[in-house]
Amino acid sequence: MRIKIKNLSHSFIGNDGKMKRVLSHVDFDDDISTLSLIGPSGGGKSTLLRILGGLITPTEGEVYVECKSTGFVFQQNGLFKHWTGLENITIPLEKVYGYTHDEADDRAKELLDRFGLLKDASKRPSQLSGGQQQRIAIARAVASRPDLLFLDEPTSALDPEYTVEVLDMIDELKDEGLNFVIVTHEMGFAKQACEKTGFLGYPPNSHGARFLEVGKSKDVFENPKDPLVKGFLDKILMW
Amino acid sequence: MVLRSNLTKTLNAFLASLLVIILVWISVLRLGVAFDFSFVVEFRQRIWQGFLMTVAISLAGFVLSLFIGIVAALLQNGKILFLKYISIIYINFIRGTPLIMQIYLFYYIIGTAWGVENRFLSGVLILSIFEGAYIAEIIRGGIQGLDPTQLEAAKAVGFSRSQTVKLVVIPQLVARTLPPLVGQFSSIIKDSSLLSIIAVIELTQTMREISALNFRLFESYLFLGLLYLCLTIPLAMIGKALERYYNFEG
Ligand SMILES: Nc1ncnc2c1ncn2[C@@H]1O[C@H](COP(=O)(O)OP(=O)(O)OP(=O)(O)O)[C@@H](O)[C@H]1O
Ligand SMILES: [Mg+2]
Repeated sequence: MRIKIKNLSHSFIGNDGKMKRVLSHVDFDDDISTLSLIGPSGGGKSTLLRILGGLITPTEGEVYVECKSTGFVFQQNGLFKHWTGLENITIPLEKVYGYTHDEADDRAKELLDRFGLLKDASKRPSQLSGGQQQRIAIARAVASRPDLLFLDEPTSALDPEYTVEVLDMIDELKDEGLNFVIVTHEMGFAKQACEKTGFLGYPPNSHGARFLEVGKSKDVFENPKDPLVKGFLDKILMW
Repeated sequence: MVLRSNLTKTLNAFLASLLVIILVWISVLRLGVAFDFSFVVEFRQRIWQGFLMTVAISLAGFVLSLFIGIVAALLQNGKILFLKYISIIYINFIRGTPLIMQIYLFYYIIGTAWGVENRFLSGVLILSIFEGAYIAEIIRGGIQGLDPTQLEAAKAVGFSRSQTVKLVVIPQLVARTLPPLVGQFSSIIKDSSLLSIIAVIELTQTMREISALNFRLFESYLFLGLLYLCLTIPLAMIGKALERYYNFEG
């Protein structure tokens, strides 16, 4: 699946009222099936993912994602709080994708059953663990069978045991052919489960981040060419 | 454990009620009056009328102040600066001054300048202008408390703008504001008693008139309190129940 990013820049209006550039002249053109985005905190990973997912419009530049439909999973609180887990899946299917109530119900239950979530389907998010919430959020995002899934640090608010169950679910969906772009701090997952990895960071003397390195995950992790990427990986892989 | 804590609760509630009753009783003894509630039967027609008037004023006031409050909150959050400032001035003036002063002031403005003769109507207007400012604050708090991620999620699942408003924003806003709004309704009922100073014949004014006839002040006001409690205690219970029902913020 092709993703093209051309000369993309994005600025936010900061607290002081001045424009603050987050992404600067980002370029990317590659065929991907699974891509992880890594990099230092505040490096614009979430911003880039939101742009790719169509949630915000970039200030400058173009993006092109070769797909018909996408899904999005947030770091946390992405489920609608006033609906049960089941309703979170069925209502978008009905209202956006034109499923009948029964079709939506069948589709939702099939997914929930598969991932062992059926018994929690009638609970609201506040009654679910963080791991359950994230897995239902993933189920909701894939329910309409999108070609591409965006995940923004889906496990960073979770305890280790829940992290594993969420990563397992993503891995299982991958084996069925789901394409995804994930922002993650789980370096093991980025390296082993994602075909490619892109590192977003600030080059010296620049205002705003761009890709410092993109490539096969194995290469990026074992043999980074950019000294900043190497420094970052050496530091975090120490533990 | 649960049983014991329930027992402790009941016991304490009983002791507290007992203390209150004893205190009231001692006060009554010191006053040297004998309880005589016979006026309730005698004036039941007028008391009932006053009670209905209080209910009617409060209901009408609640509907109108809800409307005023929603408009004021939207203007305050809106982009039109001129209207935003009008709303801010309104809310701060009303919340910063006592109701009794506003009743006198607005009664002159509404009654004399705008020629509204009907006391029920001017009463409802004054009460709604007052309560609307508090309701505006409740609504504003509700809007501010909406989690931006919920709106982003609405976009991510593909909801249109109007679907987002209908399916996400309004239900969450209702959930956040309904319990405090019920509390505000209770305040409206109590605040409406102040309209007695412009001679709106609601419950409090009725009791004042009756006690002026028979000098049974103590019983009259005690009974008046009980009548207000008949309205406010069920509302408090509804408010609590709604709070429990809508408790999904975690
Ligand atoms: N809506 C916004 N308004 C203003 N500034 C923003 C907004 N969203 C993000 N930023 C700023 O943009 C910068 C990049 O944020 P972003 O969330 O994209 O980084 P990130 O790489 O995802 O970081 P993290 O790893 O901490 O999630 C940060 O400095 C952040 O403060
Ligand atoms: Mg982020």
